[in-house]
Amino acid sequence: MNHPTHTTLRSRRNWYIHSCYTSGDYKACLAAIEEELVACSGLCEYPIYCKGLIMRHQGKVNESLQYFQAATSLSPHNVLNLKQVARSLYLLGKHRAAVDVYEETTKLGFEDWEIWHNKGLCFTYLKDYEEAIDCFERANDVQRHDASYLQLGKIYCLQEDFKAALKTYQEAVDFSPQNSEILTTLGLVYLRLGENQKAFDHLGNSLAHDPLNPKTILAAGSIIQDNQDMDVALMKYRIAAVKTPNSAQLWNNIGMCFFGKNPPKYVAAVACLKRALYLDPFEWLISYNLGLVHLNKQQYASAFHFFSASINLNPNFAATYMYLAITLARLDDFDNSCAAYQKSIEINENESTTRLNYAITLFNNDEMERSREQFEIFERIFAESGEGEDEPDQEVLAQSAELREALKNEE
Amino acid sequence: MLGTAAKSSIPRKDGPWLHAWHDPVASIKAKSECVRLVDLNGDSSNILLVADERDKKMRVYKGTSVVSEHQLLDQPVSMCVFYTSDSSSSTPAIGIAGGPYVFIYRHLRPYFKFTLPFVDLDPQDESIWAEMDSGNVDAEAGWQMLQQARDSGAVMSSWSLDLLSMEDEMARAQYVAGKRGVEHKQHTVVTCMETLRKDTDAEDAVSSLVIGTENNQVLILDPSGAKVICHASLPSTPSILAVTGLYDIEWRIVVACRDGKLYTIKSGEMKGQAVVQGTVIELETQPNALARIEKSIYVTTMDAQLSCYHIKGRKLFSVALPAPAACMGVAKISRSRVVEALIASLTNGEVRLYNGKHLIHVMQFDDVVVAMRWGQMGREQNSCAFIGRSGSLTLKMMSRQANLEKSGADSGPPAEQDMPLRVPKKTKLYVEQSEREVDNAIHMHRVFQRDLCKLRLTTARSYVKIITSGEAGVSTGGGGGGVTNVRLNAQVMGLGPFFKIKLDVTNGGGKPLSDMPICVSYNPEIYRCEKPSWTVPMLLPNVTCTYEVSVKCIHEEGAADAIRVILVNPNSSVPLVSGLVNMPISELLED
Repeated sequence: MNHPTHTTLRSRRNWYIHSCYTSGDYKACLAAIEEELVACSGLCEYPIYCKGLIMRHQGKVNESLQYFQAATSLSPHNVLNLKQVARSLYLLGKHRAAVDVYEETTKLGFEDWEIWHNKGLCFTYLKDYEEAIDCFERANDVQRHDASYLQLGKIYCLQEDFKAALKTYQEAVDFSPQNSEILTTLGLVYLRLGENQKAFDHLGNSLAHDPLNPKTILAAGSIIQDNQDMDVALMKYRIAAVKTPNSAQLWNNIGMCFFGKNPPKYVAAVACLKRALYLDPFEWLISYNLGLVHLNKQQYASAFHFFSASINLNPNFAATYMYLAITLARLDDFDNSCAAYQKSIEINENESTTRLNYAITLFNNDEMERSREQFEIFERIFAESGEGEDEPDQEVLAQSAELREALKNEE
Repeated sequence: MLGTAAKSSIPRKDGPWLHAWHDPVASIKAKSECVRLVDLNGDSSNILLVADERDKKMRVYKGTSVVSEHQLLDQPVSMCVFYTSDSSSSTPAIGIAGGPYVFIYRHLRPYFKFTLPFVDLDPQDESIWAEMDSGNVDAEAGWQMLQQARDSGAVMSSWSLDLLSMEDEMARAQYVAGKRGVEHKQHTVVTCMETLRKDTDAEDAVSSLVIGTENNQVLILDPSGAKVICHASLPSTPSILAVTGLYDIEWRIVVACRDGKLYTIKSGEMKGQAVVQGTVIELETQPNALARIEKSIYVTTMDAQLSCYHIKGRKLFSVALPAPAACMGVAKISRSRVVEALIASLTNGEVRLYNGKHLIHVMQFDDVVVAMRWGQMGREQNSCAFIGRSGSLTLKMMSRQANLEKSGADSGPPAEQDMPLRVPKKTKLYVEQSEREVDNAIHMHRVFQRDLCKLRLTTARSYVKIITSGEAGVSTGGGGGGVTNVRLNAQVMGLGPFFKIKLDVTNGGGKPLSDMPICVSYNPEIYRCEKPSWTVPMLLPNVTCTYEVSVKCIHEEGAADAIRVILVNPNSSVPLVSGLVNMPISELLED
């Protein structure tokens, strides 16, 4: 009975259990744990703890909680056990209880990155963003980790504090310059702030580290598309199409690439946009784009349907009404066209193209007075906005010059 | 030769590896720590030593055959080869850790046993047992004192844990009596073991054992393996050791602990002094393999990340792996200059070669490699032994032309970029139709608008018809007194000529209804009904009332007709709801 093997029995095979656990060999690990539990009649802390971890890996969170509580009762001051109890509570969605357990560990005079980080996660779910920010910052004070930076940035984005989010992500990039996820997120924040060039730099950097991330490709592709480089964007989208073939946004962008090509490939554009619409029928932007393509293709009847569908889904986008008005004008429905123009102006009265198009429609329908009135407003808005802009659209200039000429001749 | 030069840009299946030998049924179960390549006989021809953890045997492989097997006393934790003296003719000693001991073998024979020092007991725990031993405190009071000590955070000894777990008072007294007079000592066990060279960096230089123990200690023994010459305490139990340096000059031990952190122990100012560094690397998940190359620490974690840290604790990079790693090794090739590359085995069967963060080569095994050892095998210097999860043993050699400095992965655009987009096809019909639309857009739009108006009109008309005739449970608005949603369900039972119509009436609205007449309208030439109308006194919301109506078919040939059931609104002439019950053809009554 007093043989030394007996007194050390409890921890005798802990090393083996740990090594099986970390190498992912759960079957061998559970077998060793069972042997130990039988040998020590269930009174060995580490095997119980390890069994809890495995149970949690297998999705049995409630059972894992029982094991961690059993381990805690054997050794009430072991912070590791408390940490795992809190983690299981967190996974069960009992965020408040998890925070309480984490506070318990802090009371025992223990502090590490994991506790603060996980506490921050709990507060995020409890929508207590101020506390969460505090926790993540403390976590980073203990030791900096990519995960904490990403979470912190996410909270700032949720609060729409993009400046702070930007600062967080920049710090994160300084700390971990090769993490493609951070680079992508930073690029997306820049994109949101409208700084396309900076966004593109970071997204490109991210693609250099992980050239297959569909999220990054989509964001970078849309910037390339904005710069009218459709072929390059299409090349990038090819990769994303392999990774996420069922992404509505991706097919929408591909469709618009075909549309933006010179000369435009209308049939391919419509085919891609229709696939996008099939994948996400309630996305107003896809309907809007389909309307645009059909309008350019002179399929006015179809264009009308897509624009009205888009308006049903999102009634607050001024440009849709303007294009609907143009479509209606082409369909010889002058009254409804005017009504659509009015609605568009009601939403955004400082859009110069709406005024110009309205003036053209009125002119074509022999409403000279009203046309002149709209044209004057157009010229005023255009002059005001023209100062800040780098380069006015050539088509707008040509159209306005023509109308000015025509109105003069009418006088 | 030109042909091979052109081909060399395409990595061959085995890349820099040359296959030497494969035994699928070697039935070895061991971790990397228990697999060593060693020059056992001093003849520069290395053999493979494996300490098997399943059958507790040490096997000696010379070439491809097992030359001897030796029974071990315990499940091996780690097996280390070390040289106790530096005379050139000396043969190495083998240290095999198991339980609280390190068994030291010389010439493959048991030679000496090192026992780990006893654990310093918690003073509270120790004093309580001393009191119980002297009889000042009886078992019961001792039990309570131990409980208090545990709750106040004292570390419990095995004895205390045993005693605390006993529910029965008698058993407790017996246990304490049994321990009386026995010296209270607590053993600990070895959790990991490596070697540290003394003063020269050579394969056969004098070295000593470095042992990690369950009670959070790291011990360095003297080269003979008889006593502890240096020790350090950590906050958690060590699980993997990575040792570099020389004991007499400067050394550094990176320790992966069970709390998922990497600690560093360094030689102190004075010889024999160990300093635990303040910088601790906190990993996000548990580490499962550790390797040191130059000034970097490579660690793989359970979340399938390979991370690299500078020894000062700064993170250099991390690479996402397709599967969690199973084990790691370092390929060290000394030619004109020393090149070190990382060998990482993954749980999807891949064995990857990394130079820094650059992936040089991927080799696919049929089995998951759970242990590996790089070194000299036989007379071949750059060899590696791989042990699979199923117990297989594979020997590979590194080709002499292998270039471990160049990245084998191509840096061009990924292969996916060359796959054309699968743009959905459009039919010729579609194109023709869209051309037709371009020509006739205005006409089509008008026709559509007109038809849409017509459709709306027809719908509206039908709706009006329904609510005015009371055919469906539709409110008639003001005229109906704002009543909505009464449901009527009818079911015919019986074969005839006697039928029963079962009526379920439910008020789906929010207000109760009262005094509702129901009548049954039928063709009097075919049917007869005893009580064709009655009044429903009260219809509460969402309560179903059931009524039965007896109907007799009086037609001579048992003809069938529809019977209409009408629920009348007491305040209006318009029926609230009505239902048509299609009666079956009746059986004839045989007289």
